[in-house]
Amino acid sequence: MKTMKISDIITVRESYSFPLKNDFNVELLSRLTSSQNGQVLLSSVNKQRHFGRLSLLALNPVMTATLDGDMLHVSAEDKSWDIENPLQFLTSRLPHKGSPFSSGAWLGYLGYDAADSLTNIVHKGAVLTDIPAIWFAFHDTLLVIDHAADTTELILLDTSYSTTSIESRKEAFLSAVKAAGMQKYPELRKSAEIFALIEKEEYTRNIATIKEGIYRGDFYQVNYTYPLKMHASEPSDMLFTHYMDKNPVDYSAYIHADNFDILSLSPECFFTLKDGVATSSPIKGTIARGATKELDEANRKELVNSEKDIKELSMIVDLIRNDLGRVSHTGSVRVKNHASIEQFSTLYHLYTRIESTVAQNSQADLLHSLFPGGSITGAPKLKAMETISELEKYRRGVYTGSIGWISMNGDMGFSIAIRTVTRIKDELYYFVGGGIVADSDIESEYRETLTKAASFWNIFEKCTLQ
Amino acid sequence: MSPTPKLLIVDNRDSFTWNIAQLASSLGAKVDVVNNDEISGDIVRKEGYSHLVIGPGPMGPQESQKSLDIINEFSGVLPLLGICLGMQAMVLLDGGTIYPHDLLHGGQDMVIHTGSGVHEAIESPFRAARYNSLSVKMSELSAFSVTAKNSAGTVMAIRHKTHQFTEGVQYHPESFMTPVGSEIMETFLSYSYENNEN
Repeated sequence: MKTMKISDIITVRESYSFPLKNDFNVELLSRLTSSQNGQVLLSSVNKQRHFGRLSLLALNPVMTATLDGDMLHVSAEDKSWDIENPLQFLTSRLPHKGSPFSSGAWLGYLGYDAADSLTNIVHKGAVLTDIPAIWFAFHDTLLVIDHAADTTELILLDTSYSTTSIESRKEAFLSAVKAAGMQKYPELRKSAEIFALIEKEEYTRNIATIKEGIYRGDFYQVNYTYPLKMHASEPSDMLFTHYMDKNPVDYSAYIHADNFDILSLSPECFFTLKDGVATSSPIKGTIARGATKELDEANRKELVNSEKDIKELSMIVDLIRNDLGRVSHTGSVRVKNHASIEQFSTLYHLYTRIESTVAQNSQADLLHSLFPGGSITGAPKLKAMETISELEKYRRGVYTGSIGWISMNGDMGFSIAIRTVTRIKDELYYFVGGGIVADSDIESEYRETLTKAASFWNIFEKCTLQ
Repeated sequence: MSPTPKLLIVDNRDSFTWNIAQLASSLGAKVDVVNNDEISGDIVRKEGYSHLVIGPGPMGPQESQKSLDIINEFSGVLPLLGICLGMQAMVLLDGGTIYPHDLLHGGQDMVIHTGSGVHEAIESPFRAARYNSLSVKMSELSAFSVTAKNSAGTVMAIRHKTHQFTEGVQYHPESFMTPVGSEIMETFLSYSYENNEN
């Protein structure tokens, strides 16, 4: 059977690029995202890094791809295709020239649930968020903001499924920007209630089981997670704007799909691929910023010297070296900046950068080898995932999967989808978790998940955990 | 190191296997990886491998599937290196004990060695990464000598007394936290029973 490629489905006849003034803030971008189903915003604030520095707004989807069982269901207009090898298809390319996004890109996610078919380890938990395990869309209108170069570019594609002319779409975009700029959000309510969806006893029991496994030699680290729930009537774009105001991060995403929204506030880069160089930056270890300069410095020092956090991170570094090494050129895997500090507005994180070079056209193999990210499974990965699939009460959905983009020039960028909300109607589902290692203390691990859960909702003045 | 070593790594479902493969191939070896339930003596003979690594992995050595058969069949025939679980598999077959002891995951330990086998080209002690919950106790009638320990006295490396190129290491030479990993692998890849007979 012939392997389907994107070029069998869609053609990009023309691509126009218009420079715009860089006056798009997160609020405006979020509003524009919410105007139509299937639109995506990947938002960043970084001025330094390669891909962390890009914000992408993708409007007017002309084609979508979702996982249905083991098949990728692709639809455009009234046509649809069921494709056998999802990653091969998603990384296939269109003829390309010019800047990375000038021939379009897939924007979307690989949920952790995609591991069912990609690794054959089926998570046995109950379904909490009934959304596709893989969801991507291809748009004919892209806004690319490069925060380092301080440039903004509107890319308009004339595709075989585009229904409006380039000129009229440009006009429509500019008037939508104007209209969105004049809207005002309602007041955010003062307090919110969140509900943990497992009991403490269950958490304690499962962590004890994991620790027994660690001492028996089954694994070194297992990332155990559980969900919480909150009711909200505020629009998603408003919530996303408030999050990004309060906790700006480099790998955030807002996906406005048909029946659900994803709001992801991730600080963690899963990997990027640019000109054949793959870079992964796993994060382990987190500490709050201090209220005063002295406390802040003391906290930073505590994290830098935390043996437990450094060991946790080191395991993941060796694991990512392995996952990259499987598909990379001999001798090209390099560890850089091991256990470095990254500073955010409310937190410090420890991270390491791992780089390698991969062969041309090995995008699908790279994704397959790396996914799901080692920092959210534990190590060794397969055994840790089996344990996750046995112990966790709920399937993770998009959480701890990866959100990002696949360009038609072969470049890619993905986050680790932590600090991520899935919204279905007015219910918001949100997971917390952490890496459990030999010297994890059950009580303090539990407290840490509660702190993570409550601090996530710091956009509300008061957040009560039920 | 000539001719080009042809190394087969038995993957015990681990997340570090390809680090071993990268390490060996960057030293010029031709490397293949095979799962522990798919390996057989026939594969090793048919493909003409010159060196075998029994890789690390989760659980205890009794769960290392056909790794055990491969050690039995090829010890003394081809140079054989057991890493972590792979070393524990050698000890299990040798009648030793594998028990929960001296756990260290993702940290460095100081390895003190006798200067024999894969350690012949490196200083003692040296820094190496460990990922083990279980440690080994050699049987009284063991066919192996202990060639390295850590400061707590835990066995860190073993070498067969008569099969001179059968060795095991408890630490992880392939980790980025083992700076001398490359020298250790290079020494292993230089082994050959054929050269020896010449």
